[in-house]
Amino acid sequence: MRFGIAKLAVVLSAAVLTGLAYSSILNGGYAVTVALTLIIVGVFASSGSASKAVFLAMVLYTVPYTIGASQFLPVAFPTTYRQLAGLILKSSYFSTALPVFALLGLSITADYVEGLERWEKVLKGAGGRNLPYGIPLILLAFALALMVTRLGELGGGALPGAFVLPIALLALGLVVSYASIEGGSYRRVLVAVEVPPVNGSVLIETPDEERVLQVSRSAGFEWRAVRLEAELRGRPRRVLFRGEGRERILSPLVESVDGETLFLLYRLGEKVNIQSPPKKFW
Amino acid sequence: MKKSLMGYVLWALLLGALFLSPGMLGLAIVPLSVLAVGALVDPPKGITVRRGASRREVRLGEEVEVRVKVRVERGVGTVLIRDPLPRSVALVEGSNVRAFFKGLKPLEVEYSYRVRPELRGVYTLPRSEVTTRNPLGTRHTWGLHGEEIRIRAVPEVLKVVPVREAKRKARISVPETSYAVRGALSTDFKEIRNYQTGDPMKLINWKATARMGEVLVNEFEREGKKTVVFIVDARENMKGGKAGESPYERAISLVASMSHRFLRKDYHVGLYLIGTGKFLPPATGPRQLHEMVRTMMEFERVKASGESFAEAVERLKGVLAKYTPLVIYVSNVLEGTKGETRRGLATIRALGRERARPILIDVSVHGADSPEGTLVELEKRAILKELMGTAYIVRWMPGEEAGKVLGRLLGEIG
Repeated sequence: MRFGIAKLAVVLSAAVLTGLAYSSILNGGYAVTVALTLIIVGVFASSGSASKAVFLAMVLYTVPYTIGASQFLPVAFPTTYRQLAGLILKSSYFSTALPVFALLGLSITADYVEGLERWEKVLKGAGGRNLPYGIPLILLAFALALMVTRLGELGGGALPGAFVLPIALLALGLVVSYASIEGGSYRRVLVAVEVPPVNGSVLIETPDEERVLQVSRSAGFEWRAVRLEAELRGRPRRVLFRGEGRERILSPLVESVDGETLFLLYRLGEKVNIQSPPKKFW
Repeated sequence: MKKSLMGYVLWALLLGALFLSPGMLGLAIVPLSVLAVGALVDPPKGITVRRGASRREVRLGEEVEVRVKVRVERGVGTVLIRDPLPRSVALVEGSNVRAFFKGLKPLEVEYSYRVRPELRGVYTLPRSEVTTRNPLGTRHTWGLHGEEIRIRAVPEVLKVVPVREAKRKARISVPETSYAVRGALSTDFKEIRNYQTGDPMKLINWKATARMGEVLVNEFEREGKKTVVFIVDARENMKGGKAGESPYERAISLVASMSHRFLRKDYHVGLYLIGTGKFLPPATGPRQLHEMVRTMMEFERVKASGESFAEAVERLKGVLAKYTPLVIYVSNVLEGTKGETRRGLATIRALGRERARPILIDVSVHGADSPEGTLVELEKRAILKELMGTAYIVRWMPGEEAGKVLGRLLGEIG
């Protein structure tokens, strides 16, 4: 129910905004607004997907907006562009980037809410509780984007100035996120290697030691994929799988640090639920 | 979320570049800002998982409660905990996958679930997999926490078996083991006999010696005066049928229950697994039962060699001659193994100087209620009729309770 209301609020906002924008250039009064709103809400009602409906609204909006803001069309089709642009840019909804920003923000919100709804179905209770924390963050990001764009516009060059701050923030976030891994603040490394149950071995090489973990086909009796674990003091230089006459170098699929432990997951082959039965028995 | 945000970035850049529209290019700032803000929010971290099992050793069919205690110190977002279970361990109550939301305060939760091993063996429940993600889903962590839990599922030993104790001569007698290999002296008085060199002084019966005029000593019964050797077929013909109900699985249960009874009577009990070459020499005491069960379980999932029953008997010749035991052969006798069974049983009888007939326990895979079962049953009847003279034959059909078979068998052994 909570998700339904959130999704409807997002779809309605996007539909009304698009309807009003089209109404302003078509001079159709509220009839165009209502018609477009009904079409978009109808798409939402029939598909149940808010992201599809909002994306449709955004695409509908970006067609005249792109024509109006294009630097290519005035050169290629000067007469047609002059007529169209005169009509489009006269509207207050297309002469500023704010509505398209709002639509993109709504589209991202719709995607987010639907993602949480899917999580909620699987996690039963733990997914929906992200909503009160996630929405303020999206609003914060939206405000930041607007602020940066405004700063960029004030700075004169619309494009370069607008990109500097978010990219700098993104870089800062990535640095904070990975600093612990690269900085080596961990003391213990836990390596997990998931391999199919075949006769072979996994070789883990670190600067100090080499460790060999044996894999046997009989493990397949209980597990769809065998998980081998090794606790090391340093990050492995190379992880190798030797089996069935072949040798393969594995690269880490997941690496994350918690406290003083670095977790590394290596996987050979497709992702499998290690406890589920195989699709085909032989 | 990260994928969809990257999609928006590409969409804005593509459209902007196509129409040479800086306004559209500038739209990429919105998803990029969301990514930037998301990258600064830490997913839940500082995870501690403590796990415990209500029991480490269970009889087949019994359940184990696994208790999990989770503490998460820092970060905000979803915490997903997953305890992978081996295929033969069934989840009977609760869930081994749980999700929690970690807010601003530290999260501390406790939950439990119940599992039941479906087959005998030693199971290792691996560490818990913990995945966390921040509220925007842009960052996540993965780790293995807690300790491994080892559960041993042992076969059910029927300790109380209703035995028909009729006052008549037992049809199967356990022969006495030769004097040389008997165990320590018990307190059961046997007889008075003449002193022999080496007899301890404390055994001299002084009153009888004074009366008779020659040195006499008290003789006591020795422990482990009788020996039983189980020869269990561990080859592939014993491992067919439904999981948990294969002849080998049933054989483990039967041998364990019978051994328990024999060991309580202070008999020596030994075990030989055909196809593996594994032999446990006859011994007494509860430790021997433990060893036997462990050995049989160890070889449950091992591919056996092509060793025949007759070859196994040849290999055991020394032991059979030394102990003169009651031999109990557990197998699923089919046309292919008929010849070796006959030869082996004949050798055992010859070694035992015809004092005791060996017992053949035939464990069937199929009942006679299916077409293939009917054919096998007809074949079996003909084979067992031929073997009737060489051994005391007990049949164990599928669906028949172990207690019933045991009761029937133990009632005949004296």
